[in-house]
Amino acid sequence: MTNTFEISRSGGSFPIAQNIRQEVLPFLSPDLRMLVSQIPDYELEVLEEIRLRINAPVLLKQRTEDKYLRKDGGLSTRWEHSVYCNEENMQKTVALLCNSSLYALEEELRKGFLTLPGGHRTGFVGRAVLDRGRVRTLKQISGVNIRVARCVSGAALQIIRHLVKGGVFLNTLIISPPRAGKTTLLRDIICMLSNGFSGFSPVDVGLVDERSEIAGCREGIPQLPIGRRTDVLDGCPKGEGMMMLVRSMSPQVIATDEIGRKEDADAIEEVINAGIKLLTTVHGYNKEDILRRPVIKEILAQKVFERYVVLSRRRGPGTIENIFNEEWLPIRERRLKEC
Amino acid sequence: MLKLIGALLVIISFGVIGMVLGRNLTKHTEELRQLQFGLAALETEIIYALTPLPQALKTVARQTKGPISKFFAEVSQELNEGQGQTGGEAWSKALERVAPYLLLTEGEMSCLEQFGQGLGSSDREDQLKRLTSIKMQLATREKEAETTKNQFQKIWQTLGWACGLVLTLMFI
Repeated sequence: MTNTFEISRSGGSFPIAQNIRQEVLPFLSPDLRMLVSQIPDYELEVLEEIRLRINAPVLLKQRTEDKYLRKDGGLSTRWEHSVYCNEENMQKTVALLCNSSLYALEEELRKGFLTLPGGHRTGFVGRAVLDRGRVRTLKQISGVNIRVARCVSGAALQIIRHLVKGGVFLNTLIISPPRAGKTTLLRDIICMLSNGFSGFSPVDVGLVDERSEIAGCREGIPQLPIGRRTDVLDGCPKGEGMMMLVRSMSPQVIATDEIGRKEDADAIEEVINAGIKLLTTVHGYNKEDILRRPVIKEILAQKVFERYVVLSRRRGPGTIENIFNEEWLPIRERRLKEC
Repeated sequence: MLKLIGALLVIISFGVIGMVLGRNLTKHTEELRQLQFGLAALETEIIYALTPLPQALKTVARQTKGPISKFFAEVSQELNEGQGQTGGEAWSKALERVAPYLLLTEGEMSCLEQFGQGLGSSDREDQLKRLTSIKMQLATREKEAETTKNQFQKIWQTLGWACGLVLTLMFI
């Protein structure tokens, strides 16, 4: 039996539904907003994504199910009953998302996403505008995906003691398939290290947030809780960012997510040599899966990591499959068997 | 005596009407100039400073005068307050509200209206094209207005006084 982490962030019965109502709905076009606002709290609470595509049904992805928005404001699992997103809906939504200033978001559109206040990430697709063969920006936006930020404090609570030894944080790698709560767990570990907890004094954490996903920075200011002693390098390439942090901020722990490029391996070596602890994540299902990737294989061969946390979606996002030590021996095996 | 006062009143009122009509021509030119100036300021904010539209329009409102300043301030306010409005809709609404205070012709208003529809909804390059185009149109209109002003301002003023005089003479 495994555990999942899903503890509400601010008390109240439906905190995420409240956040969605206050922080996400104002950005939808008035017609769609009216329909979505009629969805009951318990349905919104488990909402993960709102997907709009021109001339396609409005899709609301929940934790375990994909549902379509009905014309009467309800939800249905069948697309035949769905309301369609027309060109006007899309235009208005985009205008609201970018504050009627699409021209000011060239950088964000080039990357393909924008972070809303509250840390909700919004992805765009449309027609790419090229400049010397490279994407300069997007125009004629045809699809929008609003991903609800789920800041689940307490996600790391049950595993943090396995990642600390003698008051020192151990180099940790989180292995997780997409949408299994990797970023949420990473953020919560950062938060706990940065704020401290019983038996662990707070440390300075340097965070390289290449995709603005962990801290959810908007105009440089973190929108999600990442702790009191965390310095964020927002939108910076991981390899370069880690080096910059080593040189400039002398952190005790460096956190980043989704390593996998050649530069990352070099930077990791640099970080470890500087005596800084590392917390990072990688896409994958298990050890064998990640070892198929040459760069990861190379990093693992150096025996850099002292703890491996494996996540899955088996019992919903945030299922902690197991925690392994540096020799890949399960730490929680006994406990898991007991369960 | 009463006749004299009446006659004077008629002459003065016709004279004033003539002067107001003449001055309106000057004001019209001035409005067109202020609009161009405002749009140039908007261009700087949009193209070079990449300021979001509501703030950009607020800055422009501060840099312009009279009803044109009021217009830019209205669009900015509309964007800040209005829920679910695009830049174009806010622009149209503000234009409609300020229209009674403006001396712009129908053609000029429709030029502005058309320009507003694409406001903020495309990339920098496209915005620059739109701004350049509207500025050129307004410059042409300003030249025309200037010519009309030179031709008709004096005529209106003289005509006002003359009409007053003629009417008085007819009544007497």
